Amino acid sequence: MPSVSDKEITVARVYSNAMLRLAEAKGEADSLFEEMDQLVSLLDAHEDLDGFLASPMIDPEVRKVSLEKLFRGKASDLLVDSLQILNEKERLDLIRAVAQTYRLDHAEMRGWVDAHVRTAVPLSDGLRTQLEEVVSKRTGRRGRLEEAVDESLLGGVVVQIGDEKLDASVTTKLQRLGELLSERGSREVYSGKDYVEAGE
Amino acid sequence: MKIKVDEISSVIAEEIQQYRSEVDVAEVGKVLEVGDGIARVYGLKNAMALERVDFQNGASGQVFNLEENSVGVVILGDYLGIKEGDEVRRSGELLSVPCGDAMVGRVVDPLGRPLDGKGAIETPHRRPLEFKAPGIAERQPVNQPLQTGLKAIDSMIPIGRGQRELIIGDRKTGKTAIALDTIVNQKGGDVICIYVAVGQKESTVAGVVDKLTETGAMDYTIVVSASASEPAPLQYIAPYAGAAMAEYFMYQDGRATVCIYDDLSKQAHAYRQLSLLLRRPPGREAYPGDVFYLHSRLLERSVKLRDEYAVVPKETPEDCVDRNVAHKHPEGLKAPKEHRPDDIHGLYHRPGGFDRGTAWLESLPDKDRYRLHRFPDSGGSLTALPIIETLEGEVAAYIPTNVISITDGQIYLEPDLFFAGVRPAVNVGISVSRVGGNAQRKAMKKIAGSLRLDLAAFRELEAFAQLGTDLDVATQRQLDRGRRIVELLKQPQYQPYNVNDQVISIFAGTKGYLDDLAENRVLEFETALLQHVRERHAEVLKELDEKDALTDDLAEKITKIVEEFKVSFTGSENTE
Repeated sequence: MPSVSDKEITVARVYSNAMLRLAEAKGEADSLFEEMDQLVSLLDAHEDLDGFLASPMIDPEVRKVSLEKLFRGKASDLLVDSLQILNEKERLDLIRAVAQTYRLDHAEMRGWVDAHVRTAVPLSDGLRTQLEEVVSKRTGRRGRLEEAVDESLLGGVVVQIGDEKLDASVTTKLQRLGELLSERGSREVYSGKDYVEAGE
Repeated sequence: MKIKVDEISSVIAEEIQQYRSEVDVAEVGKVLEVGDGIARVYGLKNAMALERVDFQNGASGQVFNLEENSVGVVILGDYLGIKEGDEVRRSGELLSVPCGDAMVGRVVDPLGRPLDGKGAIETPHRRPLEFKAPGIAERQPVNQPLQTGLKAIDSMIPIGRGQRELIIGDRKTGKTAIALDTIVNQKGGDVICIYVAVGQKESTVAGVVDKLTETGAMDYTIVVSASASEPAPLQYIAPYAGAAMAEYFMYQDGRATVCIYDDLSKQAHAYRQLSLLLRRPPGREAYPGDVFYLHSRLLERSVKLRDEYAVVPKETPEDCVDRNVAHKHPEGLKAPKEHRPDDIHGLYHRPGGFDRGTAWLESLPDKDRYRLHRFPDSGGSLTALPIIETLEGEVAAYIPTNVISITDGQIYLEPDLFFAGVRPAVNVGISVSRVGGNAQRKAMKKIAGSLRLDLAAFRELEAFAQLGTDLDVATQRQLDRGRRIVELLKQPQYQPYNVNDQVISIFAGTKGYLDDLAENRVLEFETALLQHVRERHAEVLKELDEKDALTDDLAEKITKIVEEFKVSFTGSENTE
């Protein structure tokens, strides 16, 4: 989830906008989106790489060579060139923010909307299309589902679109019922009604 | 002992049966960082300023800063249970507190949750914490006294209902004592009292509650406490919560209320803390730029609401609050001056409204079918007694000057007087009440003038007297008078005086009947005199009550009583 600050977002947007414009002109906007996504998961998996990119201790000239070796040919030229520009401007520490703003702006441009779906069991294809329909009905945009399996939900589904959260999970319902019962319990206690029989 | 399992399970079954689960829709954000009672929350795009939000651990918060991608939230409750990544939900509501008769006699926190162990407070009424003060049209000038029961204050610094009178002084000079005496003195009256404790020790608040319970004052008092151990945001909202609870009684029932904010300097500290943590720019003494507004919007809510009258059909019930029942003057605002209503709805609510309403009623051909109705929810008041603690008598500091400029006067307490045994330690020279004079009882007003003069003359001469020079007889007499009056104005705590008693004892002082008594016998004389009057001359007290003024005739009567009593008092002394 986002842990980038307002300031970073503002700066990152400048780069991601430029990348999006270029990619769209070349017809690579969608594939660049996927590549960025993969890059972020790569960074998540390899802390060292993350550190290597973000550290101000490493000379940009050195990093430039490594970047070429690492990515050229394996990723699109657009992505590698963008990384090089970020490196040159010493802004590589913003790569996650850039990916995030790219993701948002790309969805905006396409008229898509990101929906995070959590379920207790993996979604079936039928359910997936149903959910996509629900999302597009609610938002008037095409839903791009991001699925996750969360067994702690027990059942049901939790859908989050932007700031809006639709919670139809079994856990939440049970929790509500629990709150209701304890509220009723305290009311009964204060009502002074005796639930204990004397004697024995 | 046997638990009635069947009954319990039937209650549970009933509750489950009624449970309708629906998809829970909420606007949520995520905590980015949290600390010191402040959280930064990502998301909540549509959150509004001052909106209430709810954290996952059950704490509520209030939206303070709206930034580009996040909101700054102050946490009203346990912030140690909130972690990064926790969910925060919008409520779509402003902060509000429970209000109503069920609150009276209770000790609650600033969110209205009970602290006294007397169980849940069941009340359907709530009011928003922040409420805009009434405008010009809804108010009337202060015209009714609020008796504090303290001779020094009721005579020279009178407080009117709806007034804001600051109590200011160093620590340990008796600020809270004055406020508590005022509460105790409302016993048997129609005033609801709210005591808001901000940033105080729990033990002090417990002591206050005990004392109020002991004196029977809790029957008409609500205590709101945000002690020093509560997070700063709770201390910050406490005075607003107290004001909201008082407003309920004022707006709904037209009642008189007193709100004591003890004390606003600590509230300002709490607000400074949370403002700095929210990274708002610091100003003078590191307070944020809107610290004046913090206090001005709170104290502006003190008000004396207008009394509303209307000519209504005779069968209208006394408790009718519907303004549409008014029988409107056919000529409306063009009616002759002596009948003219004050607004287009045919109501009378400006000064003299009662007389104009009566005049029109009398002039009606079918006047037997109508009567003049006073709307019972009008005419309420909220009197504020804010307290400010100064450091080393420094009234020129930021917060004291702010609050002095907002209020309608101040009661200034001095440690020197306090330790010299003058208690309440009011410095009457620099204490003022800017509007209370209009509300003072006429009898009191008449004698208080000479009291002020006597004391002023005394203060001037006192400095000379200390030089030990020989004084002429007139000067000596002035000094004697002054010393006796200072003695007379001393009063023990929790012993408020009825206003008629005050009139009689101050009358005796200013007319010089104490001048030849030993200083240490003044209070003894006063006590005996008042008892004498109550036992033998109750008719004088009654007359004072009814006439509300000290006529020459009545003054003569009192003079005679005091003279006679003095002979017997000093006589008994001589025979001893």
